Amino acid sequence: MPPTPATSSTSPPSTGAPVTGAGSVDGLFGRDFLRRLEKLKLASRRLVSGAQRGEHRSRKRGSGIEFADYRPYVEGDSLRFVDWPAYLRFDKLLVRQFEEEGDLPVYLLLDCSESMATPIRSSQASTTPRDSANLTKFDFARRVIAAIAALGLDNLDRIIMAGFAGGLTKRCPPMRGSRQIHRTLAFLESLETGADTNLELSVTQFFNEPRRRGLVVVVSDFLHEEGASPLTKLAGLRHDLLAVRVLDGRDLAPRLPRRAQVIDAETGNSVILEEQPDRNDVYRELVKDHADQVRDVCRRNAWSFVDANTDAPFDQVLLDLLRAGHMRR
Amino acid sequence: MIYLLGAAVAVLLIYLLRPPAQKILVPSSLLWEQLVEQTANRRRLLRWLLSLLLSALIVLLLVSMIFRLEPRAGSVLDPILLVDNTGSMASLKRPGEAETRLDVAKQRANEILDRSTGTITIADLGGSVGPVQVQNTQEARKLIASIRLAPSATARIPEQLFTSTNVGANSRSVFLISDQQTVLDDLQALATLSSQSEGEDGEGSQSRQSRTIDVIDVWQPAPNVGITQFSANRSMPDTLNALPDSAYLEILNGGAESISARLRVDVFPTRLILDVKQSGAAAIFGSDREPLFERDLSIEAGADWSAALDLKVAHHRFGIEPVAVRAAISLTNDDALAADAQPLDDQAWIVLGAERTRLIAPGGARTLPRWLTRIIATSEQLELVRAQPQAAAAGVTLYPAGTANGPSEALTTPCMVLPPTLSAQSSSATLIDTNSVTLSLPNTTPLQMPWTRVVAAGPLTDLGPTSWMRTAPTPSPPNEQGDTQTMTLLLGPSLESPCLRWLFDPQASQLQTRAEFPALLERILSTAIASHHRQHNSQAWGDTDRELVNGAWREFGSSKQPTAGAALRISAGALTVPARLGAKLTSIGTRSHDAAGSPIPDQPSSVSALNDGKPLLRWPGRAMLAALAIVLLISEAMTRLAGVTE
Repeated sequence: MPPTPATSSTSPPSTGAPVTGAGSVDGLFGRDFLRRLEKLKLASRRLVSGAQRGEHRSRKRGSGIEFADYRPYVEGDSLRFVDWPAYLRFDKLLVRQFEEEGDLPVYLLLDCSESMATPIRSSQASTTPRDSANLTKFDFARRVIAAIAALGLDNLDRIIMAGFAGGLTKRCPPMRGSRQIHRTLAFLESLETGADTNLELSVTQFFNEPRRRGLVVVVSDFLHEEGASPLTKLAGLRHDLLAVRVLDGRDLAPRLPRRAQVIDAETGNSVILEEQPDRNDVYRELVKDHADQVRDVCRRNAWSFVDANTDAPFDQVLLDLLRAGHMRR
Repeated sequence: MIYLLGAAVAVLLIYLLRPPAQKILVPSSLLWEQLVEQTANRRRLLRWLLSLLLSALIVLLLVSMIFRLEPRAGSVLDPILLVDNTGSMASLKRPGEAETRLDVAKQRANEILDRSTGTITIADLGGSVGPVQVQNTQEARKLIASIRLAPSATARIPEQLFTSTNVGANSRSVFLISDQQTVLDDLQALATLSSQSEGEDGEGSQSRQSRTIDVIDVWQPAPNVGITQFSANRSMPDTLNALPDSAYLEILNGGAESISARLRVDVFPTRLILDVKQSGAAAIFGSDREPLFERDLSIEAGADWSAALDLKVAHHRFGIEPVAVRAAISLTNDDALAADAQPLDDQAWIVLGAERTRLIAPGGARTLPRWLTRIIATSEQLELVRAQPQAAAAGVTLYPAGTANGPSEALTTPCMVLPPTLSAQSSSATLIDTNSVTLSLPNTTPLQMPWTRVVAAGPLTDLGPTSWMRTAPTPSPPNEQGDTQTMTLLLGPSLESPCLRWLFDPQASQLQTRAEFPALLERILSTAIASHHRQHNSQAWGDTDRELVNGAWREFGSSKQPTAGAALRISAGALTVPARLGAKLTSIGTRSHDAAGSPIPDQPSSVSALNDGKPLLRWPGRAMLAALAIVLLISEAMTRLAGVTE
């Protein structure tokens, strides 16, 4: 698929070599981290169709090994699939159908806005020495994307990645097979934060091109006015969606002085906060409401929502992703 | 002012020097903006609520002011109506008018019925009706209408009150509608009933039911004859004539025809009048006692009649208390009515105050206990004579009771002969209450002191006949208990202070030891003084009565309304005594709706006065203003609500 003119695509080297700790990969994604990912498999709760055979059930009846259904025999059908015992019993020619396993398109959209660039407080998500300093929310989100991508590649799913902020900033050509993990990680490494968020425009740009139904994973902090509501556009396209909200502990429970002037990292807007005894309580309520809004959007469309706190161990986040039903060991 | 300015500068400095807001970069200010908005909303809501509350309060005050909303008595639950229908109620409201006091009483009763709910108990004081309990006001009105004048002059107040409160056991409101000119058979019975009615149905104080008696006065002056002056003249103090009171009474016939009237002067113990709660409402009613003075008069048209009355007896009768004296005249054209039940055509009152108690102490004021000094300084009833008792009684020889009936030999020195009986005596105090003390002076005829109370702070029997009030050049030796027999004497020809009487009341005296005497005396004096202060500072009773405390006489004018052709010489501002008594009733505890208590016919009645206050505006104006206020309130609320929702 050719890249759109508005965006640039990277051409990571297709080495096909296993991830053994090459420079860029070893920087953000440690070896232990990658080894853990290999054990995970991605699953989709919906049956999707795929041009290439993958390890996901498909609506297509084909040459798989798992029995799906009978249908009357028509001319041209191979006699190999005729159920002769059924013919003897019912005096009808019935053809056995099998579920054809297809690949799952997985669209990974990563929020690259400036709000994701804030350093995270906790180092629990760190897996390498580099993590001990300057690990940002964006890094954390990239690891989430990397984990999902690795599982998808290992599962022979088709992985399409893109970064977005005010629009699509960078996209990666579709990749399939575990050998592409290097390219995937290199792409993630190449992403940078900047500008403010425009999720609606980004989603519109990404899905303007014909896309097969698949799993859309959006990793963002959703800290913009629209929240997750622009994602509802995808409901008509019958995609499955997993929304991952990445928030730092300081986003959840900030410690501010009595008088503070908070400055928006994206827009530069500032708000003067006067002394207020219950300020933190009110803020926590607002954060909870914000999460509820995103969750409501997902629930209305039968999508999944995972709240990924950077303070929590990364394994815990992966566990939550598994519980959301999109990955399996 | 300078402080305010300084405070303002300090506040300004604190505001200016407050720490600057620390700049903090956050991923997104979205939630913070929401927080600020939410906080502002809360403040706005609070401000709106307070503003609305204030607006509502202003509107309420406005409406209240316009409508003169007063705490109405509201509905009266289960009332008991006692209507006086004795002979005095036959008096006409005005000459030539057919409306009698009984008719007025019925009107008042109907006014009460207008706001009555529940069961209604009705009785008259003559005993012809009731007590009957009815369930609705219609029947009650019929019963009220059926009340006729009773042939008897005697009111059956105790019986009717007792039976009515039994019939209407649940009622807490008793209305007694009377002209208060009623013969009572048993004052004490009424007092008992009254106190019972104030706290019935209870074996303990917790379960007592509060019941009040509202006395609604329908007294009105009758034809044009009046007492134009009734005043007491005070003579110079005289130790031998302690109560030199006399009164001057003047009656004027302001009508065009000669009249035959009966003058009657009655004496009332002021304590009964003042302390209604203690003795019941009995004192407000007419006297069933023997009058002090009674005389039939015939006064020509336009003429007056005057006389001087000796009030000494009046004062003696009630001893040490202030005494209220009432002069009443009644026309005697109708002989069918009993004297006490005759309508009083006019009455006037004077109150004879009590003289100060004279306290004589040895050694003068410096030797007095501090508490006593304080009491003397604050009391208007006590007077300290700074003299040695020996000096006060210099040359007086005392012959104590039981030891001598008087000197046997010819008197050559002054001596005081005490009567053989002691009014009260305890182990530490002695009271001799007598009017038969003889004071002998050399070469004179022994004088009988008319009223004397002698108080000794010690048993008289312990005192030798020659050691008491006799010149003692040397201090007395200690007695058996080791106390020095220094005498603290409360002595005076007119020991009127009630506290002294209470102190030495044989039943009330609990004196056991001499040491208790100061404390007890202090307590009783304090009580008495506080009581007097309460009484005389009472606004209802009026400032004029402060003078009573000082022993000054007070002249009350006639209750007669000046009418055409009557040359009444009373001042227009003089208050009538019945009105004052009614006001006193209000202040003491019985609930009376008539704050003024005035029997003047043209004034609103006790009950109607409650609702007949003239509003500032008539109904159309009221309605318009009320509607305007409501519209303003709704408009304000809508505006503010819209502001909040925005």
